[in-house]
Amino acid sequence: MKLYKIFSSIINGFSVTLGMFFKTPVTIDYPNNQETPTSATKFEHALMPDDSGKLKCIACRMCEQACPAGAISIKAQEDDKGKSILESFDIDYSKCIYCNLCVQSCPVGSIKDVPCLDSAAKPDKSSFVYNKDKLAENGRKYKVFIEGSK
Amino acid sequence: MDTLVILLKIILFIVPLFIFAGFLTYAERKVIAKIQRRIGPNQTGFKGLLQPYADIIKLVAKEIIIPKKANKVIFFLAPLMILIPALLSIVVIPASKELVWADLNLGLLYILAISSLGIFGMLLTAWGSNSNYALLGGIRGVCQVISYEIPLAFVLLTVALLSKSMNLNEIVTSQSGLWNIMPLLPIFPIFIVSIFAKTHRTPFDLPEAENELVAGFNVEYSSTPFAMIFLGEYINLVVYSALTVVLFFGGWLPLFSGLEFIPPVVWFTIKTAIVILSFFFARATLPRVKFDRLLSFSWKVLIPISMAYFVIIATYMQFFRSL
Repeated sequence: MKLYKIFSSIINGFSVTLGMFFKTPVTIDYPNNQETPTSATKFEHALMPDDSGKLKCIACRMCEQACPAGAISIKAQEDDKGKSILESFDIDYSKCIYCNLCVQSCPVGSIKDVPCLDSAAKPDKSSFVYNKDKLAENGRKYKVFIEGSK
Repeated sequence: MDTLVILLKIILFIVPLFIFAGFLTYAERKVIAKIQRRIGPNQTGFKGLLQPYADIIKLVAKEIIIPKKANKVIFFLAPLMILIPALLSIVVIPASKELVWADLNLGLLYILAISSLGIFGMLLTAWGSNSNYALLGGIRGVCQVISYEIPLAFVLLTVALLSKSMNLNEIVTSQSGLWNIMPLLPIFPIFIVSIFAKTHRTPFDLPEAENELVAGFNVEYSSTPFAMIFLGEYINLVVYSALTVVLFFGGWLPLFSGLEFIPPVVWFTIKTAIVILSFFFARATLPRVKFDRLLSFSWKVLIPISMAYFVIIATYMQFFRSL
Protein backbone atom coordinates (compact mmCIF):
# COMPACT_ATOMS: atom_id res chain seq x y z
CA MET A 1 0.00 0.00 0.00
CA LYS A 2 1.20 3.49 -0.73
CA LEU A 3 0.95 4.66 2.89
CA TYR A 4 3.12 1.76 3.99
CA LYS A 5 5.66 2.68 1.34
CA ILE A 6 5.79 6.30 2.51
CA PHE A 7 6.30 5.35 6.13
CA SER A 8 8.80 2.63 5.41
CA SER A 9 10.91 4.88 3.22
CA ILE A 10 11.00 7.60 5.86
CA ILE A 11 11.90 5.11 8.57
CA ASN A 12 14.55 3.61 6.33
CA GLY A 13 16.05 7.05 5.85
CA PHE A 14 16.12 7.70 9.56
CA SER A 15 17.73 4.36 10.28
CA VAL A 16 20.52 5.17 7.81
CA THR A 17 21.02 8.54 9.46
CA LEU A 18 21.01 7.03 12.92
CA GLY A 19 23.57 4.49 11.82
CA MET A 20 25.80 7.21 10.43
CA PHE A 21 25.53 9.15 13.69
CA PHE A 22 27.46 6.50 15.57
CA LYS A 23 30.31 6.09 13.11
CA THR A 24 33.59 7.95 13.42
CA PRO A 25 34.04 11.07 11.32
CA VAL A 26 36.02 10.73 8.13
CA THR A 27 37.56 14.20 8.42
CA ILE A 28 41.00 14.44 9.94
CA ASP A 29 41.54 17.49 12.13
CA TYR A 30 44.69 18.34 10.20
CA PRO A 31 47.36 20.02 12.28
CA ASN A 32 46.45 18.10 15.44
CA ASN A 33 46.06 14.63 13.95
CA GLN A 34 47.94 13.70 10.84
CA GLU A 35 47.75 10.57 8.86
CA THR A 36 50.98 8.61 8.49
CA PRO A 37 52.04 9.11 4.90
CA THR A 38 52.61 6.14 2.65
CA SER A 39 55.79 5.67 0.74
CA ALA A 40 54.12 6.94 -2.42
CA THR A 41 53.57 10.51 -1.14
CA LYS A 42 55.64 13.13 -2.88
CA PHE A 43 56.12 16.39 -1.06
CA GLU A 44 59.73 17.51 -0.84
CA HIS A 45 63.04 16.02 -1.78
CA ALA A 46 66.02 14.91 0.26
CA LEU A 47 69.64 14.15 -0.42
CA MET A 48 70.22 10.83 1.24
CA PRO A 49 73.37 10.15 3.26
CA ASP A 50 75.03 6.77 3.19
CA ASP A 51 75.74 4.81 6.34
CA SER A 52 78.84 6.77 7.20
CA GLY A 53 77.05 10.11 6.99
CA LYS A 54 78.41 11.43 3.71
CA LEU A 55 75.99 12.37 0.96
CA LYS A 56 75.57 9.75 -1.73
CA CYS A 57 75.42 12.38 -4.49
CA ILE A 58 78.18 12.03 -7.12
CA ALA A 59 77.31 15.28 -8.90
CA CYS A 60 76.62 13.57 -12.22
CA ARG A 61 73.94 16.19 -13.04
CA MET A 62 71.47 13.57 -14.32
CA CYS A 63 68.71 15.06 -12.16
CA GLU A 64 69.43 18.55 -13.45
CA GLN A 65 69.04 17.34 -17.00
CA ALA A 66 65.99 15.23 -16.25
CA CYS A 67 64.07 18.01 -14.55
CA PRO A 68 61.49 19.32 -17.06
CA ALA A 69 60.95 22.55 -15.15
CA GLY A 70 64.60 23.40 -14.54
CA ALA A 71 64.14 23.53 -10.83
CA ILE A 72 67.49 21.92 -9.92
CA SER A 73 70.74 23.89 -10.13
CA ILE A 74 74.01 22.12 -9.43
CA LYS A 75 77.50 23.54 -9.06
CA ALA A 76 80.28 21.02 -8.93
CA GLN A 77 84.04 21.09 -9.13
CA GLU A 78 86.55 18.52 -10.21
CA ASP A 79 89.21 17.62 -7.80
CA ASP A 80 92.67 16.49 -8.85
CA LYS A 81 91.67 12.83 -9.24
CA GLY A 82 88.83 13.73 -11.68
CA LYS A 83 86.03 13.03 -9.27
CA SER A 84 83.23 15.57 -9.03
CA ILE A 85 82.68 17.25 -5.71
CA LEU A 86 79.28 18.73 -5.08
CA GLU A 87 79.53 22.43 -4.22
CA SER A 88 75.92 23.55 -4.16
CA PHE A 89 72.61 21.88 -4.93
CA ASP A 90 69.50 24.02 -5.07
CA ILE A 91 65.95 22.95 -5.75
CA ASP A 92 63.59 25.82 -6.49
CA TYR A 93 60.19 24.70 -5.24
CA SER A 94 58.37 27.47 -7.06
CA LYS A 95 59.34 25.67 -10.28
CA CYS A 96 59.24 22.05 -9.19
CA ILE A 97 56.26 20.17 -10.58
CA TYR A 98 56.72 17.12 -8.33
CA CYS A 99 57.06 14.77 -11.25
CA ASN A 100 59.94 12.91 -9.52
CA LEU A 101 61.86 12.35 -12.74
CA CYS A 102 64.95 13.41 -10.79
CA VAL A 103 64.38 10.58 -8.37
CA GLN A 104 63.96 8.09 -11.19
CA SER A 105 67.04 9.28 -13.04
CA CYS A 106 69.49 9.26 -10.13
CA PRO A 107 71.98 6.40 -10.62
CA VAL A 108 72.98 6.09 -6.98
CA GLY A 109 69.65 6.74 -5.30
CA SER A 110 70.83 9.97 -3.77
CA ILE A 111 67.80 12.18 -4.26
CA LYS A 112 64.54 10.82 -2.87
CA ASP A 113 61.07 12.19 -2.29
CA VAL A 114 60.08 12.47 1.37
CA PRO A 115 56.70 13.23 2.92
CA CYS A 116 57.81 16.42 4.62
CA LEU A 117 55.11 19.10 4.67
CA ASP A 118 56.78 21.74 6.84
CA SER A 119 56.94 24.24 4.01
CA ALA A 120 53.22 24.18 3.32
CA ALA A 121 52.57 27.90 3.74
CA LYS A 122 55.64 30.01 3.13
CA PRO A 123 55.30 33.78 3.05
CA ASP A 124 58.22 34.95 0.93
CA LYS A 125 59.59 33.72 -2.32
CA SER A 126 63.19 33.29 -1.24
CA SER A 127 62.27 30.47 1.10
CA PHE A 128 61.21 28.40 -1.86
CA VAL A 129 64.78 27.60 -2.78
CA TYR A 130 66.17 24.69 -0.79
CA ASN A 131 69.91 24.48 -0.68
CA LYS A 132 72.11 21.49 -0.09
CA ASP A 133 72.12 21.69 3.70
CA LYS A 134 68.35 21.72 3.98
CA LEU A 135 67.98 18.84 1.57
CA ALA A 136 70.62 16.90 3.46
CA GLU A 137 68.81 17.55 6.69
CA ASN A 138 65.64 16.17 5.14
CA GLY A 139 67.68 13.16 4.19
CA ARG A 140 68.89 12.55 7.71
CA LYS A 141 65.40 12.94 9.09
CA TYR A 142 63.79 10.53 6.70
CA LYS A 143 66.59 8.00 6.26
CA VAL A 144 64.83 5.37 8.30
CA PHE A 145 61.52 6.00 6.59
CA ILE A 146 62.95 5.66 3.09
CA GLU A 147 64.93 2.55 3.86
CA GLY A 148 62.03 0.97 5.67
CA SER A 149 59.71 1.35 2.74
CA LYS A 150 61.89 -0.52 0.26
CA MET B 1 10.15 46.40 45.16
CA ASP B 2 7.53 44.21 43.58
CA THR B 3 8.29 45.45 40.10
CA LEU B 4 11.99 44.90 40.77
CA VAL B 5 11.33 41.28 41.67
CA ILE B 6 9.24 40.81 38.56
CA LEU B 7 11.92 42.43 36.43
CA LEU B 8 14.56 40.18 37.96
CA LYS B 9 12.41 37.13 37.29
CA ILE B 10 11.97 38.18 33.67
CA ILE B 11 15.70 38.70 33.18
CA LEU B 12 16.52 35.39 34.87
CA PHE B 13 14.13 33.71 32.49
CA ILE B 14 14.97 35.37 29.19
CA VAL B 15 18.75 35.48 29.34
CA PRO B 16 19.25 31.72 29.90
CA LEU B 17 16.66 31.06 27.23
CA PHE B 18 18.60 33.11 24.71
CA ILE B 19 21.83 31.40 25.68
CA PHE B 20 20.12 28.05 25.29
CA ALA B 21 18.79 28.98 21.86
CA GLY B 22 22.28 30.09 20.90
CA PHE B 23 23.74 26.76 21.97
CA LEU B 24 21.00 25.01 20.03
CA THR B 25 22.48 26.43 16.85
CA TYR B 26 25.85 24.99 17.88
CA ALA B 27 24.27 21.66 18.77
CA GLU B 28 22.48 21.53 15.42
CA ARG B 29 25.69 22.09 13.51
CA LYS B 30 27.55 19.45 15.50
CA VAL B 31 24.78 16.85 15.25
CA ILE B 32 24.31 17.34 11.51
CA ALA B 33 28.08 17.22 11.05
CA LYS B 34 28.32 13.96 12.97
CA ILE B 35 25.58 12.47 10.81
CA GLN B 36 27.46 13.55 7.69
CA ARG B 37 30.65 12.01 9.16
CA ARG B 38 32.54 15.24 9.50
CA ILE B 39 33.49 17.41 12.46
CA GLY B 40 31.36 20.47 13.12
CA PRO B 41 32.76 23.73 14.46
CA ASN B 42 35.73 22.94 16.66
CA GLN B 43 38.05 25.92 16.39
CA THR B 44 36.40 28.68 18.41
CA GLY B 45 36.96 27.90 22.06
CA PHE B 46 37.26 24.42 23.48
CA LYS B 47 35.70 22.08 20.94
CA GLY B 48 33.92 25.00 19.32
CA LEU B 49 31.73 25.79 22.32
CA LEU B 50 32.18 29.54 21.87
CA GLN B 51 30.82 29.37 18.31
CA PRO B 52 27.38 30.83 19.17
CA TYR B 53 29.10 33.77 20.84
CA ALA B 54 31.19 34.30 17.75
CA ASP B 55 28.04 34.22 15.63
CA ILE B 56 26.21 36.71 17.81
CA ILE B 57 29.18 39.08 17.97
CA LYS B 58 29.52 38.93 14.20
CA LEU B 59 25.81 39.57 13.70
CA VAL B 60 25.66 42.46 16.13
CA ALA B 61 28.75 44.12 14.70
CA LYS B 62 27.33 44.22 11.18
CA GLU B 63 25.63 47.24 9.69
CA ILE B 64 21.85 47.40 9.61
CA ILE B 65 21.03 47.92 5.94
CA ILE B 66 17.57 49.27 5.21
CA PRO B 67 16.34 49.13 1.61
CA LYS B 68 15.67 52.58 0.26
CA LYS B 69 11.92 52.40 -0.15
CA ALA B 70 11.23 50.10 2.74
CA ASN B 71 8.76 51.13 5.37
CA LYS B 72 11.01 51.77 8.35
CA VAL B 73 8.38 51.20 11.01
CA ILE B 74 7.31 47.83 9.62
CA PHE B 75 10.92 46.86 8.93
CA PHE B 76 11.88 47.24 12.55
CA LEU B 77 8.64 45.96 14.04
CA ALA B 78 8.65 42.67 12.15
CA PRO B 79 11.52 40.81 13.86
CA LEU B 80 9.97 41.66 17.20
CA MET B 81 6.73 40.12 16.00
CA ILE B 82 8.64 36.92 15.33
CA LEU B 83 10.58 36.88 18.57
CA ILE B 84 7.95 37.94 21.08
CA PRO B 85 5.23 35.35 20.34
CA ALA B 86 7.86 32.64 20.73
CA LEU B 87 8.86 34.01 24.11
CA LEU B 88 5.23 34.40 25.11
CA SER B 89 4.37 30.79 24.28
CA ILE B 90 7.06 29.36 26.45
CA VAL B 91 5.67 30.67 29.73
CA VAL B 92 2.82 28.18 29.91
CA ILE B 93 4.84 25.03 29.46
CA PRO B 94 5.34 23.11 32.70
CA ALA B 95 8.81 21.78 33.32
CA SER B 96 7.62 20.23 36.56
CA LYS B 97 4.55 20.44 38.71
CA GLU B 98 5.62 23.74 40.25
CA LEU B 99 7.99 25.05 37.61
CA VAL B 100 5.57 26.79 35.33
CA TRP B 101 5.56 30.53 34.90
CA ALA B 102 1.87 30.91 34.17
CA ASP B 103 -0.45 28.06 35.02
CA LEU B 104 -3.22 29.17 32.71
CA ASN B 105 -6.42 27.19 32.63
CA LEU B 106 -6.56 27.64 28.87
CA GLY B 107 -2.89 26.97 28.22
CA LEU B 108 -3.46 25.01 25.03
CA LEU B 109 -5.68 27.65 23.48
CA TYR B 110 -3.20 30.30 24.53
CA ILE B 111 -0.37 28.57 22.68
CA LEU B 112 -2.45 28.19 19.55
CA ALA B 113 -3.49 31.83 19.64
CA ILE B 114 -0.02 33.21 20.27
CA SER B 115 1.54 31.11 17.52
CA SER B 116 -0.99 32.59 15.13
CA LEU B 117 0.43 35.98 16.04
CA GLY B 118 3.81 34.79 14.88
CA ILE B 119 2.46 34.66 11.35
CA PHE B 120 2.14 38.42 11.34
CA GLY B 121 5.84 38.65 11.94
CA MET B 122 6.59 36.70 8.80
CA LEU B 123 4.16 38.74 6.76
CA LEU B 124 5.57 42.00 8.04
CA THR B 125 9.16 40.99 7.28
CA ALA B 126 8.12 40.13 3.76
CA TRP B 127 6.16 43.32 3.19
CA GLY B 128 8.51 45.68 4.95
CA SER B 129 11.52 44.58 2.93
CA ASN B 130 10.06 46.01 -0.26
CA SER B 131 11.56 43.25 -2.35
CA ASN B 132 9.86 40.77 -4.69
CA TYR B 133 11.73 37.76 -3.48
CA ALA B 134 11.17 38.52 0.15
CA LEU B 135 7.47 38.99 -0.56
CA LEU B 136 7.24 35.68 -2.37
CA GLY B 137 9.06 33.91 0.43
CA GLY B 138 6.91 35.52 3.05
CA ILE B 139 3.63 34.75 1.33
CA ARG B 140 4.65 31.15 0.84
CA GLY B 141 5.57 30.97 4.48
CA VAL B 142 2.28 32.42 5.60
CA CYS B 143 0.31 30.02 3.37
CA GLN B 144 2.22 27.10 4.78
CA VAL B 145 1.80 28.08 8.39
CA ILE B 146 -1.92 28.82 8.21
CA SER B 147 -2.57 25.61 6.28
CA TYR B 148 -0.91 23.53 8.95
CA GLU B 149 -2.52 25.33 11.85
CA ILE B 150 -5.81 23.58 11.18
CA PRO B 151 -4.64 19.98 11.63
CA LEU B 152 -2.65 21.18 14.62
CA ALA B 153 -5.76 22.70 16.17
CA PHE B 154 -7.68 19.47 15.66
CA VAL B 155 -4.94 17.42 17.25
CA LEU B 156 -4.76 19.77 20.21
CA LEU B 157 -8.52 19.56 20.59
CA THR B 158 -8.33 15.77 20.58
CA VAL B 159 -5.70 15.85 23.31
CA ALA B 160 -7.82 18.26 25.32
CA LEU B 161 -10.77 15.88 24.92
CA LEU B 162 -8.76 12.93 26.06
CA SER B 163 -7.25 14.70 29.04
CA LYS B 164 -10.45 16.56 29.87
CA SER B 165 -8.68 19.85 30.36
CA MET B 166 -6.80 22.58 28.55
CA ASN B 167 -4.48 23.28 31.45
CA LEU B 168 -1.10 21.88 30.48
CA ASN B 169 -0.24 20.78 34.01
CA GLU B 170 -3.50 18.84 34.24
CA ILE B 171 -2.84 17.26 30.86
CA VAL B 172 0.45 15.96 32.23
CA THR B 173 -1.09 14.61 35.42
CA SER B 174 -3.88 12.91 33.49
CA GLN B 175 -1.18 10.89 31.69
CA SER B 176 0.06 9.28 34.88
CA GLY B 177 -1.63 6.01 33.96
CA LEU B 178 -1.00 5.86 30.26
CA TRP B 179 0.89 8.36 28.16
CA ASN B 180 -1.24 10.12 25.60
CA ILE B 181 0.74 8.73 22.73
CA MET B 182 -0.82 5.29 23.07
CA PRO B 183 -4.44 6.12 22.29
CA LEU B 184 -3.41 8.91 19.94
CA LEU B 185 -0.82 7.03 17.94
CA PRO B 186 -2.52 7.52 14.52
CA ILE B 187 -2.58 11.28 14.82
CA PHE B 188 0.88 11.62 16.29
CA PRO B 189 2.41 11.74 12.78
CA ILE B 190 -0.08 14.48 11.89
CA PHE B 191 1.04 16.45 14.92
CA ILE B 192 4.69 15.98 14.04
CA VAL B 193 4.16 17.05 10.45
CA SER B 194 2.25 20.14 11.56
CA ILE B 195 5.00 21.02 14.00
CA PHE B 196 7.61 20.78 11.27
CA ALA B 197 5.55 23.04 9.09
CA LYS B 198 4.89 25.62 11.77
CA THR B 199 8.49 26.03 12.79
CA HIS B 200 9.44 25.94 9.11
CA ARG B 201 12.09 23.28 9.49
CA THR B 202 13.13 20.85 6.81
CA PRO B 203 11.33 19.19 5.09
CA PHE B 204 9.08 22.22 5.05
CA ASP B 205 11.59 25.02 5.10
CA LEU B 206 10.66 26.67 1.81
CA PRO B 207 10.15 30.12 3.33
CA GLU B 208 13.77 30.18 4.28
CA ALA B 209 15.20 27.67 1.88
CA GLU B 210 18.83 28.39 2.38
CA ASN B 211 20.06 27.13 -0.91
CA GLU B 212 17.21 28.34 -3.06
CA LEU B 213 15.60 31.56 -2.07
CA VAL B 214 18.68 32.99 -0.32
CA ALA B 215 17.04 33.08 3.10
CA GLY B 216 13.58 33.78 1.72
CA PHE B 217 11.56 36.30 3.58
CA ASN B 218 14.43 37.63 5.61
CA VAL B 219 16.76 38.32 2.71
CA GLU B 220 17.01 42.05 3.43
CA TYR B 221 17.76 41.66 7.11
CA SER B 222 21.35 42.03 8.19
CA SER B 223 22.46 42.29 11.73
CA THR B 224 20.46 42.59 14.92
CA PRO B 225 17.05 42.17 13.26
CA PHE B 226 18.34 39.01 11.63
CA ALA B 227 19.67 37.77 14.94
CA MET B 228 16.23 38.34 16.45
CA ILE B 229 14.50 36.38 13.67
CA PHE B 230 17.04 33.61 13.96
CA LEU B 231 16.70 33.35 17.73
CA GLY B 232 12.93 33.54 17.45
CA GLU B 233 12.91 30.49 15.21
CA TYR B 234 15.03 28.45 17.56
CA ILE B 235 12.94 29.45 20.56
CA ASN B 236 9.88 28.42 18.56
CA LEU B 237 11.56 25.07 18.06
CA VAL B 238 12.04 24.69 21.81
CA VAL B 239 8.41 25.65 22.46
CA TYR B 240 7.02 23.09 20.06
CA SER B 241 9.33 20.32 21.23
CA ALA B 242 8.31 20.99 24.80
CA LEU B 243 4.68 20.99 23.70
CA THR B 244 5.13 17.59 22.06
CA VAL B 245 6.58 16.20 25.24
CA VAL B 246 3.86 17.69 27.42
CA LEU B 247 0.99 16.57 25.23
CA PHE B 248 2.11 13.13 24.16
CA PHE B 249 4.98 11.83 26.18
CA GLY B 250 3.89 12.57 29.70
CA GLY B 251 5.70 15.86 30.33
CA TRP B 252 7.58 15.59 33.58
CA LEU B 253 6.30 12.11 34.47
CA PRO B 254 8.88 9.34 34.80
CA LEU B 255 9.09 6.47 32.36
CA PHE B 256 7.63 4.00 34.83
CA SER B 257 6.74 4.50 38.44
CA GLY B 258 9.89 2.88 39.77
CA LEU B 259 12.07 5.78 38.67
CA GLU B 260 10.48 8.53 40.69
CA PHE B 261 13.67 9.45 42.50
CA ILE B 262 14.92 11.27 39.41
CA PRO B 263 13.51 14.82 39.65
CA PRO B 264 10.73 15.67 37.17
CA VAL B 265 12.72 18.51 35.62
CA VAL B 266 15.35 16.02 34.51
CA TRP B 267 12.74 13.82 32.85
CA PHE B 268 11.26 16.81 31.05
CA THR B 269 14.69 17.96 29.88
CA ILE B 270 15.67 14.52 28.62
CA LYS B 271 12.45 14.07 26.69
CA THR B 272 12.59 17.56 25.16
CA ALA B 273 16.21 16.99 24.21
CA ILE B 274 15.31 13.79 22.40
CA VAL B 275 12.55 15.56 20.47
CA ILE B 276 14.88 18.43 19.53
CA LEU B 277 17.47 15.89 18.40
CA SER B 278 14.89 14.28 16.16
CA PHE B 279 14.27 17.69 14.57
CA PHE B 280 17.96 17.86 13.74
CA PHE B 281 17.93 14.31 12.40
CA ALA B 282 14.98 15.17 10.17
CA ARG B 283 16.91 18.10 8.78
CA ALA B 284 19.77 15.83 7.85
CA THR B 285 17.63 13.07 6.40
CA LEU B 286 14.65 14.38 4.51
CA PRO B 287 14.54 16.31 1.25
CA ARG B 288 12.46 19.42 0.86
CA VAL B 289 8.80 19.06 -0.08
CA LYS B 290 7.56 20.92 -3.14
CA PHE B 291 5.33 23.77 -2.21
CA ASP B 292 2.10 22.79 -3.94
CA ARG B 293 2.37 19.27 -2.57
CA LEU B 294 2.96 20.74 0.86
CA LEU B 295 -0.29 22.68 0.76
CA SER B 296 -2.33 19.96 -0.88
CA PHE B 297 -1.03 17.46 1.67
CA SER B 298 -2.35 19.59 4.46
CA TRP B 299 -5.72 20.39 2.99
CA LYS B 300 -6.53 17.08 1.34
CA VAL B 301 -4.97 14.58 3.71
CA LEU B 302 -4.21 15.93 7.15
CA ILE B 303 -7.40 17.89 7.80
CA PRO B 304 -9.79 15.03 6.94
CA ILE B 305 -7.80 12.51 8.95
CA SER B 306 -7.48 14.73 12.01
CA MET B 307 -11.17 15.62 11.87
CA ALA B 308 -12.12 11.97 11.57
CA TYR B 309 -9.94 10.98 14.50
CA PHE B 310 -11.38 13.81 16.55
CA VAL B 311 -14.86 12.37 15.97
CA ILE B 312 -13.60 8.89 16.84
CA ILE B 313 -12.10 10.04 20.11
CA ALA B 314 -15.22 12.03 20.93
CA THR B 315 -17.42 8.94 20.47
CA TYR B 316 -14.98 6.85 22.48
CA MET B 317 -15.05 9.36 25.33
CA GLN B 318 -18.83 9.53 25.23
CA PHE B 319 -19.61 5.85 25.23
CA PHE B 320 -16.65 4.11 26.80
CA ARG B 321 -15.58 6.64 29.39
CA SER B 322 -18.10 8.77 31.12
CA LEU B 323 -17.41 12.16 29.68
